[in-house]
Amino acid sequence: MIATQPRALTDALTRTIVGQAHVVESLVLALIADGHVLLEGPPGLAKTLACRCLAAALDGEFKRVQFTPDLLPADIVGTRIFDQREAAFATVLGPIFANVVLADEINRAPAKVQSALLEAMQERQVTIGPQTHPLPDPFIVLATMNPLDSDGTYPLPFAQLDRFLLKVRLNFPSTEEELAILERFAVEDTQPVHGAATLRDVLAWRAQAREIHIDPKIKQYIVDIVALSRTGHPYIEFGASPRATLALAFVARAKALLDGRDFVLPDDVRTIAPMVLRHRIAFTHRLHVDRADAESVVADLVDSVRAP
Amino acid sequence: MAALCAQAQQLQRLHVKSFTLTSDTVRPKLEVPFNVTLTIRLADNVAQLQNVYLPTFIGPEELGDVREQSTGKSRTIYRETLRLVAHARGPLTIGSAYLEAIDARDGKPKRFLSNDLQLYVDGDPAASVAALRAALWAAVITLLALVAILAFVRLRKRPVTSIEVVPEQPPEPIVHAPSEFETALAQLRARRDRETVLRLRRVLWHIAGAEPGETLAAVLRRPQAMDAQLRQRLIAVERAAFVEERRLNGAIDEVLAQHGESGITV
Repeated sequence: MIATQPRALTDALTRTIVGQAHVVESLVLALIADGHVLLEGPPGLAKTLACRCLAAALDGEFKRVQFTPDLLPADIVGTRIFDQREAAFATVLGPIFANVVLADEINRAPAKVQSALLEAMQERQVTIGPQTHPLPDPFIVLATMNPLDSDGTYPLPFAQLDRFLLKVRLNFPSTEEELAILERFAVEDTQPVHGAATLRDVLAWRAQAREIHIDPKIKQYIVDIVALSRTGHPYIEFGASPRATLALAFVARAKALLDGRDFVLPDDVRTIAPMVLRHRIAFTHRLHVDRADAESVVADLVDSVRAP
Repeated sequence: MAALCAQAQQLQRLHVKSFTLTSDTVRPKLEVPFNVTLTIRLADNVAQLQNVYLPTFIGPEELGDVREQSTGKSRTIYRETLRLVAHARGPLTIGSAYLEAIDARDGKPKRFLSNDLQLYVDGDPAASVAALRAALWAAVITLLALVAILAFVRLRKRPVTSIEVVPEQPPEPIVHAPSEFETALAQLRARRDRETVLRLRRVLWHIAGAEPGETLAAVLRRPQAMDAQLRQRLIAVERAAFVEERRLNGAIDEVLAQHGESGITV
């Protein structure tokens, strides 16, 4: 029997966040699939609010780090300080030791800070001095990037982008949604919903998601999509890696669980493929010259593969 | 020819005389290959032309690409022919091709753009053959009708000798041929396996007006799939197509329950 709690979590988030349904769903999918999310969008589109609501709904610990050019790796992971009273070194854990970590404007910090965070995301542990500290479980990093102000930023290297399970682009709300935002936030300070699910629920969902069945025809469909990204598209320099193949399967399983199914449908793969693949494909210079949209290129690529 | 400033890189120094994009037809036929040719004429002898970027287009499929280059004492003609086939009717834009090079006339790096092409894909060849065939049939039928009228007029002039009375024949019983859907459903009742489920799925997909390769969400958006009963059937059969093997029997039961035991026609 599949639990209905993942949908309860998305429902709790949409009670605070107006529109951006794909963002809310992607956060819950990444949580189930045990991955991290990169949110890209201009300021004011509820990126931070979404992350805060997710932490509140889970009753987990939430930490926010504003990435700036003068940030140091120790500001993220923690450091050792000398306690004069005890005459010994003591470890002070950094803000990364939380269940939900918001890395705001990740591309504003230099590479060494980014790599400290991304290493912790991958290894799920941090070594400070002689001691190794495991990160809490569940642990999810939600990083944001603003595509507009590129001056003074440090773009994430391709290999590090691959560490994010999903990259989600936020769009401006529709007129109706904007009116709803006005109604909801102008009158009262809307508080996030607390306790829609527990951290233990999340671990149970992950176990359930691992049991979700993927038919061999759908596995072939996933492999075909990834293979097509490697076959000489004029706008694609390098296609997606096998890590993308695995990510597609994980997220498709999470999507099936979220929709209350114990098997994956081709629709699950088609829905999640753009946000899994977009940041894992290297585009050619020609894409920028032709002012083509990477999002559309990936969507066309996925659509051109025949579903089973 | 338009020239745009390009980023200075390791570019070739060239005298570009002309840069054109042509098509062997302005109205390509649906599913009939056609050629788009890119021609660059240079006032230089170049062994290998670099930084040529092919035109962009959305829709047609590229079947092949033939490149040829001829050089003289102080000239080069570079020609690249793309063989394309269109799968959809309507206007088709083939964007400009471009060449990045240092313009030998002023020593500046430039992007040389070709013209673009505005084509219109029309005329399904199968449809035109069908139209021709229909016209021929119409002509033959008209001719036969004229011959029959003439023969009838001639026969009426002859004296009637005898009238043969043909006894009335009993009407032939109408045999209702089972539809593809009913056949697939009957097969599923008889053989409860994945292959038979997939056959029924293909038939239902066809009834909903969907193409193979579409996903359920796309099929459900089709106008033919607005019927509530058909939607339920599509959803049930989708479940049976992808559910785990040990749950297949239950899923098939659901599919059959959607259709009832009395053999519903769609």
